[in-house]
Amino acid sequence: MTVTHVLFESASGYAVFEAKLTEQIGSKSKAVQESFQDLAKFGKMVSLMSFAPFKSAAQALENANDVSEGA
Amino acid sequence: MNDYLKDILELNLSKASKKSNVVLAVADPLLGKSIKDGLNLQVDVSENSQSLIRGIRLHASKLLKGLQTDDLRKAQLGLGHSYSRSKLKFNVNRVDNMIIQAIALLDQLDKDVNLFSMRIREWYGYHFPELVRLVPDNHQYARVAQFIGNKDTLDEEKLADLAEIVDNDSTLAQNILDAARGSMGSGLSEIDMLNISAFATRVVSISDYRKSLVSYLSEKMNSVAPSLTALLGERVGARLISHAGSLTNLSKYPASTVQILGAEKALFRALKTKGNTPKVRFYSF
Repeated sequence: MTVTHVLFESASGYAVFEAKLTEQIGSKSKAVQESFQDLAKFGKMVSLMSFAPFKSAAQALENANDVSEGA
Repeated sequence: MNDYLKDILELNLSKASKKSNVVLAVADPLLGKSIKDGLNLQVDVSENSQSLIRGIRLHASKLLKGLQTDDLRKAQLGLGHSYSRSKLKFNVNRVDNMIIQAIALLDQLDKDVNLFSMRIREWYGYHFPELVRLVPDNHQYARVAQFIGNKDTLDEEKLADLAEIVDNDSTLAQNILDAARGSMGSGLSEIDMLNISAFATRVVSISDYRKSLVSYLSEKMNSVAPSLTALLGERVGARLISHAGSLTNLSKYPASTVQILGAEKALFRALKTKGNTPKVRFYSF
């Protein structure tokens, strides 16, 4: 099962990323782990599909509540 | 599942999922499960996706185009504040906090009044040892001791007032007078007497305060948890609430938890030694 998309819930909105070049087996290796640190390398692994900002602070709070309760 | 999140995911992933299998990496397993159930998507919460998300979080300000570096931090700070504030608002059920404090204070006062009563019995007993047997009740004893003061000053004139203190029992009042006349207790100097009666006054006022606290508690319990109060009475009900932490907590407990409330010590001892767990500790006081 290779990850193709990533959901990232930030404080200002939801972002959906497309994941490319994900490595299943070597993911624990030091080289792969280090590539996460480097934006130039990491930028090739994920690309932003869409970003949906929260429209208001109230909406952000509502979403944060739901996310924290896993709903 | 949140509608907004659902819309976003549907919008972005429905097209892609037609072409090939979509596996979505999600940080939180609970959230992942509800996405899986709600949208029929494959969800991955393994360590692999965790590290991907960690990378995204690290570079978030660069990856999310159009955001200033500070914007995200400000949003996090603001959201963090309002999130914890909303959690707090949920937890501060002011009324049952008052009950928890009141029952704790009541327990403390019970202890203190007992302790002080023992002290005054002993102290005033040097002067008038016979009184302890005649007036066994703590509160009454303190009031009588406060009223009599020096036992030599007690005479027929004060008999009516004395009877009033001991629940209008004139025989008892007469007995006290007789005992005072024939008492074998030692005389006390004025300054000793002054201190004893000051202490007696304090004990009386504390136990009066305790009575008013009891009525306050029962009033509160009747307005906050009328059904619980009707079932168990004010004090046991209040104790259950204070044990559970709040009325909401108590109402969410399963019966098996309520059953052993107050017997936690016995329960954990039994679990540790693989003995028999306590079956019923119905809160008895």
